[in-house]
Amino acid sequence: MAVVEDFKYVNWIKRINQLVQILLCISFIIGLNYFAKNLYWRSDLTRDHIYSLSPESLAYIRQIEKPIKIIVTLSPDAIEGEMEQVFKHVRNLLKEYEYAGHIGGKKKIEIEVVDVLKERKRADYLARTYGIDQEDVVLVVCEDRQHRLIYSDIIEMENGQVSAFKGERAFTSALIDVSNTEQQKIYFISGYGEMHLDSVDPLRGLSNVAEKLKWGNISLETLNITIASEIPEDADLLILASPQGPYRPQDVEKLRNYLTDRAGKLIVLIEPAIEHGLSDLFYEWGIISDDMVVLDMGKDFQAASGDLLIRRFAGHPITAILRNNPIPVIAGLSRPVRPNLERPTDDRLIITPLISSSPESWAERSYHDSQDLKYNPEVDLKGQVSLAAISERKVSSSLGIDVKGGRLIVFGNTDIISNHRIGSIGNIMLILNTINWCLDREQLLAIQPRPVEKFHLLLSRQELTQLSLVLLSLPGAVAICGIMIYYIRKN
Amino acid sequence: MSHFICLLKHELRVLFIAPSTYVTSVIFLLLMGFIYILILADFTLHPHNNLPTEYFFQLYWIPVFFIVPLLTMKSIAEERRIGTLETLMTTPVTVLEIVFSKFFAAYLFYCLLWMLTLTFPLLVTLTIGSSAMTVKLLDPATLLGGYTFIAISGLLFISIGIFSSSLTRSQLVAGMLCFSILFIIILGVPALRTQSIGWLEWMVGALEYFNNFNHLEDFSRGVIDTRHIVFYFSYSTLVLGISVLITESKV
Repeated sequence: MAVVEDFKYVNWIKRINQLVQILLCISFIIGLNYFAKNLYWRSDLTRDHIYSLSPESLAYIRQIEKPIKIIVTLSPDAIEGEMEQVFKHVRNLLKEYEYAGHIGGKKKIEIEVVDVLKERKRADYLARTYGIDQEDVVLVVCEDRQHRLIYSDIIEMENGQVSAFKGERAFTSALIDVSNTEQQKIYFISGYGEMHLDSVDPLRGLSNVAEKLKWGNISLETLNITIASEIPEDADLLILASPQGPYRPQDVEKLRNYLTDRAGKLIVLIEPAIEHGLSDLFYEWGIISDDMVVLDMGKDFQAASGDLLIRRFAGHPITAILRNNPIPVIAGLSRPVRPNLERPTDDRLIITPLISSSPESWAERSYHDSQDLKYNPEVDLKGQVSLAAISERKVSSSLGIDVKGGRLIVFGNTDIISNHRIGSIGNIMLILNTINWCLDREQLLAIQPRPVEKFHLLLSRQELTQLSLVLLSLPGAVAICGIMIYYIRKN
Repeated sequence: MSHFICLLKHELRVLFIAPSTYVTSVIFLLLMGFIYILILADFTLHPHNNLPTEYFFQLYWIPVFFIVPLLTMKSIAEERRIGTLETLMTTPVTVLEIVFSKFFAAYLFYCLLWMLTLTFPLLVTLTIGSSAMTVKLLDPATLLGGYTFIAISGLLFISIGIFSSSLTRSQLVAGMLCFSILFIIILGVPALRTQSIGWLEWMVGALEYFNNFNHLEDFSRGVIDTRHIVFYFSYSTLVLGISVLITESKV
């Protein structure tokens, strides 16, 4: 009996011993994987290293001092087709950033992909901490600075199709942006009844656009030009949105000095029928804004509400995405803003009409008389009428290199930026692209977008059948081998 | 070591003279050839962003579900059923050598079968003879990455087969068990990740890590990442280790 109990005891010991061995193995394997997850090596086998980061990005990443977190709230299950491809591109690109961010045993870049539709607790936390209330956003965070990227920052589209990925340029720009403690600053000018930065008014408020600019790690401030003695030194861009009265000459002079002497950048949005007092400044920069109202009879250029649908865009970096896709901009009453052809030629000024109405439109001079709204070739402007123009001054240095010397962008419409219009995708793209272009954001990087290569096989049905028969030869050969071996063994 | 080599040679010999091996191979090659032709046919209908090879490797799980159980279900279960395992244990070989010889025999055969599929793009390019198509179909990065994934992941899948076989005396039960475990690992984990996972939110990271398709994504693009290699090597070693312990305890 004692012998049997001894065997039982030994068996128990043996089993416990095996269990301990298994548990030790499991803990060792988990530890090994944890170690491997944090200390790893990646190699891109492709011929042109198409999945590796450019040397420019790697150089920037090496300079990062504070840890950066990249949060992706793209929902992988809610997307399909082209967008699924975009998500994969983003995820794979971020893996390269994470790998490049492992410097000296420290993790400089941390990536987190959150499915906001399913991971509710995490989504709530992100909403509370970073104010993310939507999916399909890439948030780059460093300390209290954050930069948000949306689809249009990551891809280039043409005719509704993704034509190129510019994710690397966007991510590296965002990394530089958030790791830089000095933010770019935009002043919204006030003093003449302009639209206000903090106002939530649907028609005269700019709170929505302000929120989106803050996502881009841009500092915003209001500047009362009637009080300020001059434009502040830290102003990277001025926005003058819808003045309700003419600017006094001394205030115009402040803007002139900022633009000319300090190579400043100014975006002006003016509405029809209101005197703005900036005509002389516009003249110096080769732009004219006639006291007219643009009327468009083109069927595709009028929204159901009677608003203007702007569908004609210049081939400029600001409007390229709107032009290639195409995405309309919705605007209310507008006035023409066009290059001033009467001004003496100045080779240093590059003036580009940015957006325009349809060929069936015209700019009506006698717009006060609602009974007489028809095109008069003697006084009216024939469509297509330019509704916004850019004037850029190039300054030649002693070395013969062109240096940027100030930018003035004038829109003949004010409500494209207002709270009730900015929700339209075309409007927000136009405004943000204009601001980004003025601030030279992303333009500093020479990282080229990666074109999307499509692979299409040109095979006839007959060729496919032929291929099927050729591929059948392989299992056929194996089957013959099997039969031969079977008969050899049998005999 | 000499015992291991001797056992491995024996296992390979048994595999290569068994008619069932050839039946399995023919079914495997027919299926993979059919999948390859379907992918090519799809590419003739509309353009794709990825290469045909990438799509081909993304369907790796289809043959895995039947080829791995068929190759491994017999290995230890049959030896135990007919009592040859006990006889074998009276010789100077260890359980470790027995389990590893069976594992490597099945693994080498598994790799050989997959290597035969390399002839698909070769045969297509030889038949069509278009240089542009040759560049795309025989893209070395995707082929090398894809076959590396097959070889590395095969370690885990075959070790799961051996593990299943070590648990029971019945081949059928071993095969079904292997299929079930593979199904859970390959399709269950991503399904769990994509379904409503409110109560599983805390283990999203682990599910992502165990998702085979995440590991495949890098390999099929031609990117080699040591994390994936460590994952498959370590877990296959763990499963094989457990198989050795189980086999030892049941002899």
